Amino acid sequence: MTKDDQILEEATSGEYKYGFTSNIEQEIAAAGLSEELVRFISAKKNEPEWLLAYRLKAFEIWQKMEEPSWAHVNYPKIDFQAISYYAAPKDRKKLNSLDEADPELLRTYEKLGIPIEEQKILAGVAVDFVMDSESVFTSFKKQLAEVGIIFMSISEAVQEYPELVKQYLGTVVPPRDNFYAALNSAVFSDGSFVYIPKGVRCPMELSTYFRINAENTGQFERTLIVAEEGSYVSYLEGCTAPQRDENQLHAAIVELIAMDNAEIKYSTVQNWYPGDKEGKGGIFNFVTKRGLCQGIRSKISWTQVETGSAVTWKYPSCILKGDYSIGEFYSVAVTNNYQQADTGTKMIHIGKNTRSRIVSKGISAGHSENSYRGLVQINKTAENAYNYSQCDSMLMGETCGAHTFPYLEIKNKTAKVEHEATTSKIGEDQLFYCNQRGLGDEEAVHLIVNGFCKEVFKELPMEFAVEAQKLLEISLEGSVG
Amino acid sequence: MIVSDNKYKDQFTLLNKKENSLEAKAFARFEKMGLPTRKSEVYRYSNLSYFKNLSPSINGNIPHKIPEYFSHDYLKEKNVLVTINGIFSESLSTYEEEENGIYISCMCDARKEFRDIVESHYNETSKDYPDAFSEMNTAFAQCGIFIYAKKNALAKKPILILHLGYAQAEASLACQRNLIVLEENSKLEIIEDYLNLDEEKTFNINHFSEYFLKANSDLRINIYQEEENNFHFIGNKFFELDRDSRLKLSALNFDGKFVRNNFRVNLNGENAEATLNGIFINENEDHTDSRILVKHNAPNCQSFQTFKGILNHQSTAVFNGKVYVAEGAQKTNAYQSNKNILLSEEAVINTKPELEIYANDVKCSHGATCGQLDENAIFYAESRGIPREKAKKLIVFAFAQEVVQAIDNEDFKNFIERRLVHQLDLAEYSTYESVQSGIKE
Repeated sequence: MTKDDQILEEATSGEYKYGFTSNIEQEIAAAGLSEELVRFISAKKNEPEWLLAYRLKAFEIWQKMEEPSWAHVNYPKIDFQAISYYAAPKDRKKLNSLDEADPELLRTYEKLGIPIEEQKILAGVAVDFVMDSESVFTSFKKQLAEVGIIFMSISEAVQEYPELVKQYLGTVVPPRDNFYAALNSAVFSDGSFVYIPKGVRCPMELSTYFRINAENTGQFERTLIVAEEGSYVSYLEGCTAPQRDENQLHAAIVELIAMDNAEIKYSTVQNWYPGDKEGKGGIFNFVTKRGLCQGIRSKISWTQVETGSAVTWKYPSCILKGDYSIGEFYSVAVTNNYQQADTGTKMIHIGKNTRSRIVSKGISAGHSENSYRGLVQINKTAENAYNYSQCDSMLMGETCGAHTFPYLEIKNKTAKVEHEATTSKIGEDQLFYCNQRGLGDEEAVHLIVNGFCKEVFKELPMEFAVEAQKLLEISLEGSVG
Repeated sequence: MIVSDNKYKDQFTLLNKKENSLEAKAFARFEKMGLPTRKSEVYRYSNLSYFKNLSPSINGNIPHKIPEYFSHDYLKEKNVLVTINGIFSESLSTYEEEENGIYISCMCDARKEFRDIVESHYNETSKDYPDAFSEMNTAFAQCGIFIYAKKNALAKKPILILHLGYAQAEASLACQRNLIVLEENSKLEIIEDYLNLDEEKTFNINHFSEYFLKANSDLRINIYQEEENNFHFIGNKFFELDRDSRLKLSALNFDGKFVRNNFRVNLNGENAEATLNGIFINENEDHTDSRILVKHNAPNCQSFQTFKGILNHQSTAVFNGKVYVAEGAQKTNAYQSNKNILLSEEAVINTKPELEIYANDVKCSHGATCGQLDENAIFYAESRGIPREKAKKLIVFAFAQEVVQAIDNEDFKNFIERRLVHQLDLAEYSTYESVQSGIKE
């Protein structure tokens, strides 16, 4: 075993640091999926008739669909009847300040390292804290309301702005899009709704922390962001989950819509429980994320740092419909032990002079499998479209896998499409260089890995970038020395 | 799609194969599989509906009259093997049966004379690779070509295999099958050429060749496919490479209504090296599908792929190259590149370069690009008095050079160059060609 192999091996033994369970009373629906359940969820949330109809239609579609099997992942078959589809904290009382919050909740924040008070004052981040599907409170609502921004849980939005939700829900990801999208459309629990009015630049980073908390509960988040003409919003999504033995299913949908000259920046740090070192347990993360650049010169930018989940199946995509619109995708996916990730993006060019850029960095260690799967489609109407894709993989360990499956479909001769991919490992010479300058092995590997991912990290908002680097170090602890 | 109609079954019964024969087993597998549809990932971008209407030809489509074919004089010295509608034609071929340790014969004779070798190699490559067309080929294959290079045998001159189409029966598909075995330290060069002599009838082939490269052997293959509107080709070429062996393949595709080339290379021994290059120039409604799978099963192997596409009119093309690095295949070096030019509004290219890697100490990279001709380059040529249309063609010519120049048979290279000059109508600018041929003659 060469020296760097040894170093890599040593560090793979880190245990999941955010694995703890909060003891908050929860209301859980019995396991199983049926039309009654869909009605139950809808009634529980006091939803209008059209939304119930939407859910039922989606349920009908879902029943006819089959689980997709094309992804490069392996997992035991999911029993959709064994999952509970609804869990919400019992305490529904509205809160005005943190003092009123459950002290247990506050402790959870602390363990996660998010001092809410401090963030509120110093960082100016409005946190829409979602505790197992249900919004507990939304901060900074007033400040946002002043400029006309709507930022609330989607169930609230259904009550307060039914017209807006009705207009946009399911327009980017229709229920029949795929198996998990149909499932989500039928049983989605809660999520965030953001509406940025014309010409408004959101004064702060909007952020939601998701936690999967109740045991054996599927989590079906639904996020909808609409940016009107000339507006700008940056949205952060971050996740940590407690340690569990049973696999948990997470099938979220995120829909983004950008009108003329609007820009949406969506950043994710995903650190759900990846399972233990033997590959037992962990979250199944089957997410459909898609943005529609509806207007001219609109821009949607996805940035993701994926370190958690046992199985990830996720392709944040952009439909570049407006002329001169821009789509971006920056991703770091880290897999360790027996984790499996099949992730990438789709860039669908429809409008003229549309541009897209893909930067994907995959790091695999242990026995994990890490795949990039992406589609760049230049349609006939997309004159002068441009795409640049770069997919780099880094391998740590002799038993892991790194794969690249890019699809390029080009139907217009004016298109310029470039794709590059490389696969390599950390060189002994690189390690030696760092050692020479007084860095320990572990520090050296972190330095090299961070350098490898820098292009993506620099796209993250500052606070997130710090967290992402920390996460990366934790995830690779033990696999790197 | 399960084979529903009985045409395959009827045809197969006519062949009178024994129940447990290789052919019968292959046919059973084929029946179960059926012709692939576009749902199948490996045929995703190719429409096979044309092949649905064909039935595999068994005996009897050898033309009564032997056609005249223009002699391919681009090789000064050569052995020529000819197949007509997929069947080896002894009378049209001119070759030495045994020369410098290289044995050439038809498959039927080889089954008797080289029984052990045929039995231990024939259809061995398709075992772990279920493909409907290769199974169909195994079931229906006619007498093909067998080439055997003895230990330490060095071929003095290249072998030219001419695949001719002539008066092929209506709606039939010729199943052409070859087996090529290179023993230790041997060296062989093959040129394959496809030609339809019949102006009215189409020429449909399901081709399947197996190549075994034993330790330290060396195989060069150049494939030349040029047909106007009436050529439909499905080709499977599977290679097994032992330690220190080298494979170099160039596939040159000019036109061809439907051409699918499926190359699969297994690098089974250390230090084996495979180079695969290709060009496809499509016009009108041509469709080219190049699928390459290079499997690195042993450490220290190298593979290189360079494929270039030039698409005009409503033509379409698919490139799907995959590098697979198995667990333990450390120190692998793999490179893959696919570059395409679209010359018209309607042309479509679908490209999918893949990497699947299970070893950590490897160097693998790939690149794919698609674009149109560089306006600056066109302007440069125009400003030096070259008309715009010609300027474009010159740039296309230059674009193809990377692959053309890599051909290591000088005669064949010059021929391809002349062919390109002709295709692009660049005679008056081809100082290259005149200089080259001037030196030669």
